[in-house]
Order: sequence, then structure tokens, then C-alpha cells
Amino acid sequence: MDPTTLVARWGLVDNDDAGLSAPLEDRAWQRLLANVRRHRIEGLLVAALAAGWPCTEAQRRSAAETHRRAMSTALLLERTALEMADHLDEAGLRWRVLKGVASAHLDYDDPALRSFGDIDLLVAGSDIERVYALLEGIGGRRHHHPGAVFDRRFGKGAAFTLPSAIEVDVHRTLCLGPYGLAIDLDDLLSGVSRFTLATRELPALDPSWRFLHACYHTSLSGPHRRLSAVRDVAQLLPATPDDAHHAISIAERSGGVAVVARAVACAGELLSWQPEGFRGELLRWATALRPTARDRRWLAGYDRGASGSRTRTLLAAEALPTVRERVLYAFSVLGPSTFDKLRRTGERMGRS
Amino acid sequence: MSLLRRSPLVLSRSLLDGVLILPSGADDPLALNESAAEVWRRWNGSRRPAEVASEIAEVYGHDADIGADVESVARMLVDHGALEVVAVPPP
Repeated sequence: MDPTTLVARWGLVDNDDAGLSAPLEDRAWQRLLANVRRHRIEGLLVAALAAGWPCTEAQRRSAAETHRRAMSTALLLERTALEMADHLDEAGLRWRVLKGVASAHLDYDDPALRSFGDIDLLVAGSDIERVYALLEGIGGRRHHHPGAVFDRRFGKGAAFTLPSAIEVDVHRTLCLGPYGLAIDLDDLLSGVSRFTLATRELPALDPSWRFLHACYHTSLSGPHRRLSAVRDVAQLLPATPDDAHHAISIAERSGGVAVVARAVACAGELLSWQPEGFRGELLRWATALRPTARDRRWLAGYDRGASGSRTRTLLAAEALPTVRERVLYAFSVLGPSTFDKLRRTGERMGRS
Repeated sequence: MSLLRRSPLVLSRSLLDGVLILPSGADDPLALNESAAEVWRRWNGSRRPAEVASEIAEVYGHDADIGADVESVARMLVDHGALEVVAVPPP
């Protein structure tokens, strides 16, 4: 098995007999270290070394240093997450911490096992402009600005870079395009899990939505998916029929069953993982599920990565329930101010 | 030295050979090696440096007097805001 895969699946299987039998040669080790950084699985590598994987002293030192850097980033991000929590609570907003920051504390035995490179926050669409104003108020610079109507009703959210160079991704939904628009946003914010940073409790998605978010991230992030996200799918895979039924019924309401099945199958394949018991049944279900024609069309739009953004934008209209919403969507994607210009023109014509 | 405790505002991560801490006022995280991490973990607000030193000596089987080393690590951690003074015990 490829050493990167061995690291990414470390600890998933009890008494796993897959592992390194001898220290890697220098070139193979450097390749492994580069992959570990790229896939953000530094914590799993040092956990494997601590458990006795064979390595030279120099390799152990380089792995420890790589992990220390990743954890330095994680701690600085967590401090910023705490500052953001103060701002969001003071403004009386409903919000959740997403992905790495939350997952590290809620879904892994030790947060040192999960690296992350930014802060992801979910807020209600109706509050999103207030959150953007708040971030701009503390010096955040927004990367892309498609327009207010798009932001509030159709966008995934926006990324901001703070003066400290830390990136904060604000989400209204979990992904761009049709699957993001099909998500039931009331469902998304209805549950909550909490974790503690320093002395403060932070809100995160409930376990079912954390699993679904890992699935959306893994299935829809194009050809260059990170193994940390794939590992999240395996880590969060429901272990009981009740939990699985709950997660899949939410996915059904949000039109995302094919996304879940694809992510679970992907975790099995990329991690060479064949879980036992109920999780094994879930993996077999996922591998056997055939997407509908609509899902095949939608998934294809995501598989092209950045080059598929126009396709995803067009397909997104299919996820909207009414003609009125589709018209509004069409106007809002034409340009940042097209919708507002049309509205002002309409108002002028009405006055004259 | 006074009674000390870990500052509840410190963010931390376990490392392969120690602990990484980020006290609330620090610009950057501080890596503690295994022995300094052991000193940091053992402060709960009711121990003096001498007590922590004797616990560590017992666990690790040190014969030598490590009280001065523990006190020096404690001062460094107080300076960085990772430990805080909770009371000054009577002489």
C-alpha cells in the first residue's frame, strides 16, 4: 500500500496489519512528507510514528517539525475563531463553526490529529451581509463580490483575508452550485454540537450534518480532493442504523444522497478501507448506488473543478423550486449590479 | 514561589515530543519539550514548585535535586502567561 494511504488511514482499523516494515529511503520519505503536508494529515503521521512505525531519527525530527508547524497554524486559527465568536455573539447572530476547527475537537480522539488551514463559519443567509460588514469592520478583505442578492439568496458565501493573513470562509450553505442551493438551510442550522476552546464553548453542526458536510466536501471538490476531508468521511461514518438513517434522510431532503454515496465509496477506495459490521454494509450500499440522471449531470459539473464553474452556475437553476426564484437567480448571476440596475430602471419607468 | 495554575486561556496541542501552547497574550505558539510539558501539565492551582518537582522526580526516578529546574521552567511559563499565580502562600 502507498505510504500516504497508510498514513491517511492510520488508526481507522483496529490491529491494522498494514504499515511500514522498515524506514523509507530518503527520496520516498521526502515524497511522503510533501504529500502529508498537501493533504493536511501531519497529525496522523506523527501518531503512526509514536505508535512504532519504523523511521530514522532524522525522519522522526522532520515529521515532528512538520506537525509542529501545522499545529502552530491551528492554534493561531483557533485564537482568531475565539475572537470571531465574540464578534458574532455580540451581534446576536446564529452561527456555527465548520470543518477543521470543529472536527478536530469533536470527531478525533486528539485535536492534534487534524490539521486545518482556515476558519470556516456558517451563518443564516439573512444575516450574511451583517457578517460581511463585521469582517470588513475588523480589516477583512473580501476576495470576490458577486452582488448583494446573490450573496443573500444563492451564494455559498465568501472568503475574507484578515490583516493577520488568516483566511475566514463565511458560508451560507455548504457548497456552490446546485447541491448547495438544494440544501435545506433550516435543517442545517437546526441542530448543534458544542466544543470548548480555552474557556469558551463554540457551536458546530450536529454529527449528522458534520458527516454530510464532509461528504459534500469530498464528493464535490473536484479532482484534487484532500485526504484530510476523505478521512473525515471515514471518521464520521455512522456506526449504527439509526444514525445512518437520520443522516441519509436529511440528505434526501436536501437532494444529496448521491453525494453521500459517492463520498463513502471514495473513502473506501482512497483509504483502501473495508470496515466491518454496519459500516461495511454502508460502504457496500454506497458502492452499489447508481446516481440518477439528474445527479450524474450535477456531479459532472463539479468534477471539472474550476473549469466547471459556468456549468455549475447554469445547473444551479435546476435546484430552485419556483420560476420566480430562477428568474431572480438568472439576474443575480449576470453581474454584481445587474439586478440592482434593472430594479432602478423599473422604478424610474414607474415614476415617469 | 507562589501557588500556580495553568492559565485557562491557553490553547494547546500535543506534539510528538512535548506540547505546543499559545497563551492569550503571546504572538506565537511556544513549543515545550517533554520535561517542560510535564511541568506545565501538573499545575492545578494547589501545588508549589517543590511539590511538582518531587512528583516528577518520583515518576521519572531522578535522584538529583530538580527543584531549581522546575522553578526555572515555572518562571518561564509565568512570564509567557501559560501559568498564573493564584495565591501567595504564607511564609
